[in-house]
Amino acid sequence: MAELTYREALNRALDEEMARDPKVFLMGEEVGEYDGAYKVSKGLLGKYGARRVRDTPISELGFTGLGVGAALAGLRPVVEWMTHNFALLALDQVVNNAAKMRQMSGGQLKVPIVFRGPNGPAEFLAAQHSQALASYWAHVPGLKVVAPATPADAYGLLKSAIRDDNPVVVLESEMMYAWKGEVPEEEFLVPLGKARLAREGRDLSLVTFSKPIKAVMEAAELLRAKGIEADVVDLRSIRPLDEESLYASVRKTGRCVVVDESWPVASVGSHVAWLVSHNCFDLLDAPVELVSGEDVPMPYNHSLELAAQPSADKILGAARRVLYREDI
Amino acid sequence: MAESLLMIALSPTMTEGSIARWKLKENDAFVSGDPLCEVETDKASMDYEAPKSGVLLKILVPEGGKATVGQPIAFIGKAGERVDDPTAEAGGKKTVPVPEAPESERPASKSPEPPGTQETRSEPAESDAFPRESPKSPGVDHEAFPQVPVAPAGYPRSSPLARKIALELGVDLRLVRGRGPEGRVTEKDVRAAALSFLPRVEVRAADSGADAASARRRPEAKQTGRKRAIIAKRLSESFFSAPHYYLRREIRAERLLEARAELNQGRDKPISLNALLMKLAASVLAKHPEMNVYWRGESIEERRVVDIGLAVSLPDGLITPVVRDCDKKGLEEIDRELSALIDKAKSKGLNPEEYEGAGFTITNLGSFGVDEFTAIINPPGSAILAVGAINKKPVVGENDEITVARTLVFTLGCDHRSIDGVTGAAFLADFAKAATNPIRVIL
Repeated sequence: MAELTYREALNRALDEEMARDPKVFLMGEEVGEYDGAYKVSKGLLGKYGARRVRDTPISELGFTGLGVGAALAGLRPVVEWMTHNFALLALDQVVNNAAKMRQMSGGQLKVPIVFRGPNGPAEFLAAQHSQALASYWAHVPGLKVVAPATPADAYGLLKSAIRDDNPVVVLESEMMYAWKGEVPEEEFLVPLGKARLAREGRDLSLVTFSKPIKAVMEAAELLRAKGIEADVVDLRSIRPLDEESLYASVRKTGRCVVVDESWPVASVGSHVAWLVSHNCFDLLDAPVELVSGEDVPMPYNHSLELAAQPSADKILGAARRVLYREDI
Repeated sequence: MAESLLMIALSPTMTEGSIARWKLKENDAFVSGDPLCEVETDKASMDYEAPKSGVLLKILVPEGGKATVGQPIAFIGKAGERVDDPTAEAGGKKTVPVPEAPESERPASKSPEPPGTQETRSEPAESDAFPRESPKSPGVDHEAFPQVPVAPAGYPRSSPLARKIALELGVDLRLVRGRGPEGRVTEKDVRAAALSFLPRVEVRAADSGADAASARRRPEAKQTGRKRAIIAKRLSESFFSAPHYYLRREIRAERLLEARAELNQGRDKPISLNALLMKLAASVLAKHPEMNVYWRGESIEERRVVDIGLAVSLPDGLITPVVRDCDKKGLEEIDRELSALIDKAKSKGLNPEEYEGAGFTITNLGSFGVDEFTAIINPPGSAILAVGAINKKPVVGENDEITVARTLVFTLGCDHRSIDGVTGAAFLADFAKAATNPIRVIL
């Protein structure tokens, strides 16, 4: 077992998939000569050449559309967006072309493409560059969306995404690229649509995905010190969503806190909270709580920036409410 | 937001209470657990403790006023909070704890009833019976976001899980004290209520249209009151769900009587035989925790405390005052508590915490000359000890000589689901030993 950073795990997945299938190629801003804005594609240009590691102009709508066309024509492109903030420019290609072609052609066309890049706030990047946009993609039928929270999942899910015949959006995070974790040395895949039980407990369910897993695990440790054992569900895959694992956890605990760093309105978190409220109605002893990013454009002031995001403290507050315990 | 404080059932049978005294004035602050007012119930007058901390904003039911369970009696909240037209809601049964959405904003289709409430409901639902959450922001389109209905009027707020469990355990939610926010009944509250074995009370409509000719032959329906109904329900539940078996053991009672006589020498108020038996049972039970249990449907619950009840007969039916932690108390203390409880039971009536939850019960018909008898287990205990009369009898001694002795028969009834025969027999053997040599235990 090797310890890799999240960044290295993604690099290894790209490297292995490019070696495995000559149809796989990478394109995006700075992915070649500069080794990627966040060094995810480090060394790939030297190894696979400029035909398969393409630097693009600063034109998200253009190169994303190019990728969709290449996928329709039989290649398996991996399109890197420098961040999901910039990917807003490419929404039309993803929503109207990538997500629709298979259905509109009656299954004659397929679009095996991966869109990937960092999502969510990092630090000191202000309102326009600190957005968690998971629900933009999760909203669209025809897309698959994954959000790995560990290096092993980043590796296993990216490989599955590249091999899938549907467009898959991969949500990474600038803050997570340096996270370290064990990644088995032998090759493996993590299937799309399967959640991960990050921690086992009987007292309440904490449900999350992507970067907030850190705050959630911190909160779980603080709860443990009070004698409360949290079940932590890392969704990993947002579309398709592993509802079975979600409900199995709530069946066990009867209490649910959903944590999502996005804004609260029409978010993945609010959708998951609704699913639990609806499908686990008779099992719930307290209303489902949602800990989200605050419903404001991200403030630049660092104290406010931190205050606007989910924290272990906020999760603890929600845990208090679902447990009816004021003393924790 | 200001919340309404609902009248709750302070005893298992209470459906209505009157406010004897408000202990706070409007705008007084209180912390969770403070007595807010004194409520006169069907059985006793009891303190209504604050479910949470806050300020008494507005009293809706004045001293001497009556309120049915579930009816708002006051508004509580934060200091200086405004109460929205409380008088409009103070009227009658249809009061709702929170303001409703305006008519035009209400969803057109009726929301389904919350599960677990249909069976115990006595009146058909009116749309007014479903209070809706107050709209959080006026801009929300209520057509698109219908508000979640809460429990019908007269019922406390309750979580779905609490309702489901209440249905499973046969607990009437109206009789459960909710300790969640705004008095919400949660899983914990229902389980606690089920443990104290609150029965579901069903009210039957009276017969009407009596035919004069056959009226004479018809048995007269006696007004029995709720207490009789509860006793009937409880004992039926125990007798028909718990497989009872009985172990009988005779002891020589001389030393027991001698010990009691010695203890009572020079005492104005003698220590009762029942207190003495309670003390003996407690010390033996402490060594036999497997007897101090409750069958929970799928598993055995073992108690950590030794709480013993004594069946006491009252004109309207029997009640079992409970002496808590008997194993940790001296004989005098047990006797004192027991006689105080019996006095209270006869005069004013006991509070639930004074008669509920015995882990073991003693019942004694010796004073009526009953030689021995079998008793029905008093849940949530799993065993009951029936004590007969002390009689003079010829007995065969160790050397086959026949002497006249004073004897006493104990009959131990056990729930076979939680206590096997050998367990019961071992307990009874130790108990007989203790009763034969009581001084050892009393010291």
